Parts: sequence; C-alpha cells; structure tokens
Amino acid sequence: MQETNTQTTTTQQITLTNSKLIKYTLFSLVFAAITLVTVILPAEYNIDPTGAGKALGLTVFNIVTATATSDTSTKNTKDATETIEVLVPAGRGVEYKFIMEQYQKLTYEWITDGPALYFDLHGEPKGDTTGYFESYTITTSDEVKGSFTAPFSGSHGWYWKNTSDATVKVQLIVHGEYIEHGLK
Amino acid sequence: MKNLMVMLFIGLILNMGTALAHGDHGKISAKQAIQVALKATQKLTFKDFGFNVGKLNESWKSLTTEDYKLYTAQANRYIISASNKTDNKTIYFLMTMSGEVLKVNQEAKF
Repeated sequence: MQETNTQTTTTQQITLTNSKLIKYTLFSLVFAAITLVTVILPAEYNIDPTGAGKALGLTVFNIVTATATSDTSTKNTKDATETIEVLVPAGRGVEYKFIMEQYQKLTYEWITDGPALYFDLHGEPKGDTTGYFESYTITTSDEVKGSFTAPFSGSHGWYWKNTSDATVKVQLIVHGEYIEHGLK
Repeated sequence: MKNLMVMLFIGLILNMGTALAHGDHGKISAKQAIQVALKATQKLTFKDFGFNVGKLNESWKSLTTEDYKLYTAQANRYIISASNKTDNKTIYFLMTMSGEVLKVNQEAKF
C-alpha cells in the first residue's frame, strides 16, 4: 500500500491597505491620548481629570509636595537662601546639621578656602538612640553642589574632617525647607 | 497577533515624544540666572576664583535679588549685572544658558 502525502504550501502576503493604516493610526492616537490623560498628566503635572491617576497612585509625589508646603507655613520653616561659614579646626571634625521634616528638600553648595575636606553628608532619624545614620554622600572635595530630600524626620547635614595642619573655612550656601540649623 | 504588534508599535512610537521630553534639562531662566549670580557673589566674597574682579569685599554679602538685573541674553549667554549701592560699583556675570559662570568683570565687555 502506497501512502501519498500531499503538502500544500500557502504563501501569505503581508499587505497593509490604506484603510488599515488609517485604522491603526487612529487606534494609536486614541491609545496615546488615553495614556496622556490617565498616566502622564497625573504623574508629571498633577492634572488628573479622570481620577485614574489618583486610583493608580500616580499623584503621590505631588501630594507629598503639597503637604511639605503646608507644613512649611505651620511649622515656620525657612525657604530662603542662607550663607553660613563653618570653621573646621586642623586635625578635627565638625558636624553641621539641619533639622528637617520628612520630604523637605534642601539645595546646597559649599566651598572651602583651602584644601579638600573629607565629608559625610548624612541624616539621623528624630528620636533615635541607637546611633543609626544614613549616608547620602561620602567623599573628599573642596567644592560640592547638590540637593537632597530628607528621607525621614531628623537632623541632616555634613560631617567635615580636616586632616591638614591649618584651620579650613567652609562656606555653605543653602536654599530650601528646614526648621533650624547649627553645629552639632 | 500581527495586527496587535503593528498597533502596539505605532502606539509606542507616538508615546516616545513624552519620554524624550526631558531633553530640555540644563537651560535656566533669567530668574534662575539671577539666583546663580547671587550665589556666585557670595562665593566671591569668600575667595578669589580667578575672575577679573578678584575677591569681593564684605559689603557684597548684603546684596539681595533686587540688586541683580538681566543685562542681556544673547548668543546663548546671559549677562547679569549686580549693583552694590554701598560701594557704588556694578559687576557683570557672563554665564552660559545652563548657569555656568564664565567670567565676572567690572564692565559688561567680555
């Protein structure tokens, strides 16, 4: 008995007609518009006409900012540029801290009048007695510019260590939200 | 499935503009340029950065934003003037549109 296998080959041609192209383009435009209204506008600009952004948790960063701003007025925090000079004696370390609430932001720049200093920009939680601290930047430099948002309420600032033989002066320029500041 | 892939691809292409919208970082406004000049003045009262004006005296520390003005904004550069009423002097900051201070002179000629 002979078995015959018949194989049929079908050639499928990819065609994209004008009507299909228009349909896909329209679909993409609608898709982009929905994404814009439900995701991008709520997350980037806190514009949430549908309420979908809030439901998806995309407006959380804007809510945090609003809370921090209201806290600023009630707790009499400062929002101005301040220039502070700190002396770091030869062979010693000095800590200068800012008391900040969670999510308050500080922009800063500091320079030294001499050599580079080892420093540790860090934060210590309010009321903590274990000695825990979180470092944000550790390096040695004579000039640094940056910003940070306090991850928790507490004291946040710099530990500078002067390993040279002469006193080094640090000029610290800050702008942002904080309750008070000073040497620790 | 193929149609779905085509639709997704077009959708992604149309949304790429938003992802690339952050490409404008770095260009500051005239108001921000004044803040940069204010901070630069404070730093120049602290030490000499090698600019023509050298190290500024203590009276420059008391300048406020009202003492600063946008002198000109052209050729991708800002020139900000700072007037010290105590000394009756004016200095000029030449900076890039991203806020990098290039020169500080007692005249607006750079």
